[in-house]
Amino acid sequence: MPSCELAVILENPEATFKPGDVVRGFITVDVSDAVKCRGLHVRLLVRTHGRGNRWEREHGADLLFEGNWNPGEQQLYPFEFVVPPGPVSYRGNLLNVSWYVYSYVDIPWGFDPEVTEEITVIAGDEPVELGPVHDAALPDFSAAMSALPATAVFGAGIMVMAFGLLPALMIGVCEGDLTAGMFSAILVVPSFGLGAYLIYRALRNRMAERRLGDVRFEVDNPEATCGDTLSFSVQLSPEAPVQVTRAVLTLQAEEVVVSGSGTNKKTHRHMQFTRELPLHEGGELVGPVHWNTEITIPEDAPPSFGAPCNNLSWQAELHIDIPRWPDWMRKMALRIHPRPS
Amino acid sequence: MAGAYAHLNLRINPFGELPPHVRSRLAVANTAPLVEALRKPGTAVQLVGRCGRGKSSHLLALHRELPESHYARLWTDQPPPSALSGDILLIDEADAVWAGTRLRLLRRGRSVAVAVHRDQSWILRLAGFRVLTVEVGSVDRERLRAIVQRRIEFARLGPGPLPGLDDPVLDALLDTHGDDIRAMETPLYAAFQTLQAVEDLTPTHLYGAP
Repeated sequence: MPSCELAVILENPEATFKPGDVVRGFITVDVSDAVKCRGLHVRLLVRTHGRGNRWEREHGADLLFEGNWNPGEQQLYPFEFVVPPGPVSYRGNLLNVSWYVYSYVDIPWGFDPEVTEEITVIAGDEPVELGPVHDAALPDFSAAMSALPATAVFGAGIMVMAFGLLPALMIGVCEGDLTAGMFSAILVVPSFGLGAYLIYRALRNRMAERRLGDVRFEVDNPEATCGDTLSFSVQLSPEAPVQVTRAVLTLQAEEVVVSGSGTNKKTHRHMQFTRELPLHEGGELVGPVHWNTEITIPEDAPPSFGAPCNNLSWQAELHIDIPRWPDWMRKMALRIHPRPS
Repeated sequence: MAGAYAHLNLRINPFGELPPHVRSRLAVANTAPLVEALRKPGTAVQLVGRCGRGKSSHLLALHRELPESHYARLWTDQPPPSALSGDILLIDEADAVWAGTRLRLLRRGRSVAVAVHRDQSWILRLAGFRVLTVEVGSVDRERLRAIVQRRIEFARLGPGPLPGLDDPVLDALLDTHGDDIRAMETPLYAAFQTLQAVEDLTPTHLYGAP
């Protein structure tokens, strides 16, 4: 049994708080045995919980009392904190972001009693922070690869292939038996596969653009707010008529969290929001083509969030499916802010 | 304010990822004989088991029981901590480094406890220790019940009933995952995400209708 029990009493327990608001309340201490208190601490903190490793940040700390408590005492200590500018509270599937008033008693050589009380933080009129990793969106791999000179990317793929191929050839030539052949295959297959995949990923959009011409994929506002309408624009300039199976724009919000570390490290993913917008239902494209589409982000959609091991990333993906030819695909990172209440 | 799991009388999903200091508090491990052994200089305790069986939780529980001990986790791609030394060393993933490095690390302590995937008694003896081997992993229905209940109790929001797991659920978890407790966390986490009220989980919550 702990020698004292703590409780958090909020001035307004039903309230939600915006950045700049003040959280007021009391820490009550019910003492059952004599306690030498090295410190009664109270903190305001934001913390992730769910499938990912926990991330936590303290936004205020106060020492309320130091000294001795006697059995039967009941004490009340006031506290107040100003709510910082985000992130907002969030309830998801793999990821939750929660704000707490946390209090504990530091008892020398003893069990430290503690208590937490959750509060809800919502967006105010000013923009809020989206977590310490502000670039919450996933890296745009295909765009980065497209920006590299084709010869450099092709060379990198060849090098990966050669990494397995050369030693395998040497073993095969020197040994020339079945075991050596099998060992050679073990070396060749993964490196050849990886090299080929890299070359394909790097050159896919370039190949597609031989048919489609230059493709421009833009959004009017990559940093929007829940409830906003995003306008996407796609421009193609095929030099000759080209058949397209379909063109689709997909807007997604995905929770990506990492649990464990080292050999136990594991990434978990959950699609929290997804919406497909068909841009073209298939057929022949002739001359300059211009597609425009709009999508409204629901007001209750999850906002972007980024903290170590805990991310909620928004992205728009354009996929132009060309029959019997590499498709054109690109992901565009978006940052979606919570709607002011 | 009611949290995301208040309808279950919980603060958090009990089967989410927990930080090491919390895992050490929740470990279901009989550490008393190991604590006693480690307090005698020249003793090496090796906790042997496959991934997800609770070796790290055991070691963290020992660290909690032995405040004078020093804990370190080793990585394959990082040098071991140079400052690691003391009377009692607790080394997690001790087989992540080369044998020579491991031997030098072991010799820095008067007693050591290591969490390893394979038997390392030869190197512990080479370092001059008496070796006590604990196979971590054997889990039956009762031990699993204790582990699960401790996690759920830790997540408690307030007084009153909590969701529980009945015997068929525990049996289904053991049938599906064997002694891999970490692997059980995935279906349990998902099941708690879908629970609408305080009730006992059934195998259907975990693995769908048969």
